[in-house]
Amino acid sequence: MTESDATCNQLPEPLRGIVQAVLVPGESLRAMFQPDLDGRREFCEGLVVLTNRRLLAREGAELRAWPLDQVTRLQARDRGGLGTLEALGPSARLACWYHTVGRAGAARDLADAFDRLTAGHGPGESVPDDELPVPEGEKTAAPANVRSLFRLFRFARAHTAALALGLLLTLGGTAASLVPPYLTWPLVDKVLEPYQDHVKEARSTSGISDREARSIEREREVGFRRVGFYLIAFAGASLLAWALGWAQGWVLAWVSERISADLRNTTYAHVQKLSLEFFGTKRTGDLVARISSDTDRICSFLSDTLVDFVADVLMIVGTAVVLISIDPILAAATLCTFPLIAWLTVHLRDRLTHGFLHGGRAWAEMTSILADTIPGIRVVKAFAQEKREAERFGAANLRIIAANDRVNKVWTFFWPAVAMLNQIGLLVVWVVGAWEVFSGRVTVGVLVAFLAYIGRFYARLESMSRMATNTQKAAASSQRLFEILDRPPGVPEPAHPVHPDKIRGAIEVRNASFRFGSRQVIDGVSLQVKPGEMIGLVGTTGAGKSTLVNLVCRFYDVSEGAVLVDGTDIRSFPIAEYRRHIGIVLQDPFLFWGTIAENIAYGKPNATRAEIVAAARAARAHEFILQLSDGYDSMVGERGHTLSGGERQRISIARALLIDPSILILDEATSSVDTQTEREIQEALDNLVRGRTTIAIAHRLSTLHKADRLVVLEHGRIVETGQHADLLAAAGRYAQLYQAQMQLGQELGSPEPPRELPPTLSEREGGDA
Amino acid sequence: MSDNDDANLIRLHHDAFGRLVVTLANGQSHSGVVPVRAFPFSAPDQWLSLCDESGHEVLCLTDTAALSPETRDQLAAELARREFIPRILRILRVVEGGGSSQWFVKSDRGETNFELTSEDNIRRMGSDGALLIDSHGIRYRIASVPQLDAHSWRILRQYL
Repeated sequence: MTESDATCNQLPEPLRGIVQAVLVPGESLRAMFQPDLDGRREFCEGLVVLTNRRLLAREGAELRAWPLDQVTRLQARDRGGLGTLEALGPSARLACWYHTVGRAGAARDLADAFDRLTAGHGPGESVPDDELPVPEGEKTAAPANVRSLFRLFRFARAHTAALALGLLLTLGGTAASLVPPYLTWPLVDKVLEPYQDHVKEARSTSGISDREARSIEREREVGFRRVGFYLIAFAGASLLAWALGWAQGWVLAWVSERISADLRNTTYAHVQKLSLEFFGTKRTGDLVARISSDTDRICSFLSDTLVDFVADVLMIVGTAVVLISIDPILAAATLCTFPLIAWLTVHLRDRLTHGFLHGGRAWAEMTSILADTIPGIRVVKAFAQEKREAERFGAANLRIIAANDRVNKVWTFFWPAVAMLNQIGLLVVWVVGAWEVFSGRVTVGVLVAFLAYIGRFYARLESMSRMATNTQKAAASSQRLFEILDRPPGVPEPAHPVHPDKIRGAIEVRNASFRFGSRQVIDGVSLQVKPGEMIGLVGTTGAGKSTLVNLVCRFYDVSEGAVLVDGTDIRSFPIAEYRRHIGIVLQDPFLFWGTIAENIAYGKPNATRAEIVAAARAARAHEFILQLSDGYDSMVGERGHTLSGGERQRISIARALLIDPSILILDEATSSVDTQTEREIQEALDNLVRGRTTIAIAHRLSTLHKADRLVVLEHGRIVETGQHADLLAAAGRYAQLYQAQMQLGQELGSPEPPRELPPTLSEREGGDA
Repeated sequence: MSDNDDANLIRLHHDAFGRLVVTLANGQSHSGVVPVRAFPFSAPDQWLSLCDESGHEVLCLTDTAALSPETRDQLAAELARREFIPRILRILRVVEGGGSSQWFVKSDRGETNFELTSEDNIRRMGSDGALLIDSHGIRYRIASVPQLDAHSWRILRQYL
């Protein structure tokens, strides 16, 4: 099968026909691209086809064609979400197609195919595909489109036994609580009424004989005994219902606590797996709110509302059955308001869900402000923006009020409405009941029992309507949680993992591209690094240096091309196993809340004290640690506030040293400290770099004096590679950068090229807390 | 620096100014050294470091057991002179107020009270120990929380 047939057969049906219709005999398809915008940048599906002879384009019904010798170049570009593909002739532009950025890859593929076709490979010749097969990533199942609350059952499955027990207890409790009102019926009709009638009768037949008086006396004793029996049964049933209710409450609260903990754990573990891109777009406070308060709402829903709901449904059904069995007409009267309530509930439910979702978002916005400004409090104070921050917080709070007011209006109307409907129901029952008693259809006892039941029945209906609120709240919360859980991890685990045993550290970046949103950050970079070699990445801010190392660390996956380590695509390695071989020292080292020893051993929690001390010594951190009041057991705060920038940096170098990585990434490791500290850190770094493949980024070119090779990046492309002296001699981009720094250094009278950025606030602080 | 093989040859004495002088196994001596525990809580009796006046490490002892008994006693005495970490034997009462709390305790150094500025200043140490750091940075240890009497334990449980 030729390449063109294969390409053609992969097309979806309507396209295949269209494409085949325009091809002339002997012509074969090479590449195809579907622009999705027309000349006025309005959405419109088009088609551009490259064959071995012609370039064809269809816009609407019109078909245009250019023989390949008329076309000199195909040029694909994109900017700000809009992409263009231009066909250029020898003297003029032949055509221009617009597309959204989602199709930019296909446009580039078409341009590449054109280049291959015109460069060397004659027409009709098949181009061998020498690209590496992309390792297959683990597939994440698409989220099932079921109501989010039902999806919580996934978490309930582990506790089926306890849930079943809880349900059983609920059933028992409900049954037991149905008994007492039932007892009022025989109590009235069989005991109280006959006795009363008997007494009345005797009184009316003027004068009570001794015999009659004795019989009344006897009946009174018997009646009393029966009353006692009924009341004891009454009390017993109530006691039983209470005990079962207690047991049921405890069991279900126990389960729900565990389910919500599972939910929190699962969500948090999933969040940890998401790509850096996700954290770049989500606000911390929002995530915190989802994991903490949303799971809590679900917990309270599961423990209280859900159980109550089941109990209420059982109770209502049970009561309805009993009512109908006693007297169908009265039962119908009791239930007359029920359809109204059901209609009201359904009608208001969606408004409630939307309202609560809105409220949840407003709440997340408020916590986001907290999570933003509390860590950044020094900036706030330095710029004297306390008042404005308070106002910003106040504004977020106002939005919470507005969102909640709207939803409060709905449910505050709802509950009293249900209560009123119940009152009406009661009235109807009295009317129908009185009529039935008068017409002799039922006894007073039946009416009394009915009224006793109805009290419970309506109370349940009311509590169910209250539940609608909580249910919608929980539904909104679980929707927010599943929004996170349904998001596939940014870098998928390999479907067929290759386990790296020992990594030598040979890195090859093969024609890698990476786009961030619509921005092409890395554009066809190829770079080979030998094991143990140190590469210095140089370039202006935004040239793509950090992105390139992020690709090597696999914080992101390349959009095109591949990154290989020791000849294997890094997408074939299990992520954790691969990263174990990578040490990273960042510009602003992050220390976790914990002791210094724990922070150094972060990448290897089972490290011995000897290993920790050895790493700290090599990182030149040992002696300053000994000067702290608690040595290696000293606590360092959220961001290591009690240590200076240089000290924190050396701890992070010790952390990288301890895992003994074969690949080392230094991302501006020295740029946020003063020159003196930089010297100390440089010593520590020299220890770290020895024998490892190193990629170092630095603005201060002096930091890279030990690099074996310098790679100059510009706009995501490599523009120069070589050693310092060679690059200077070449008088290219590097020489310009270097001269600029030297010049600036001399102007300021400093012996060293100055840093690119002024010192940040954070590094002047915290030096000697 | 760390030279545990010849640890029994290490000698300590005080000079005429009361400064501690260490004589290493190779005969070199350093005066004005200060013993420092590298892991004061997680491994108090291992990883002892002797630092000179400018903070440079002169000697690192991974295990004091290797020292001659005499030197070990001297070192222990020197550490005792330098350290003040009272051990809490009994918590009498805690008075809460305005975000901080006043703790009245009985310690191995006598009865005292101190202020804790936040609950973060109570930390678990090891499996069942605890450490309290007061507003002046003085540290109080509880060797074993479960072994406290019931009254103290009830109070502490609210904070741990």
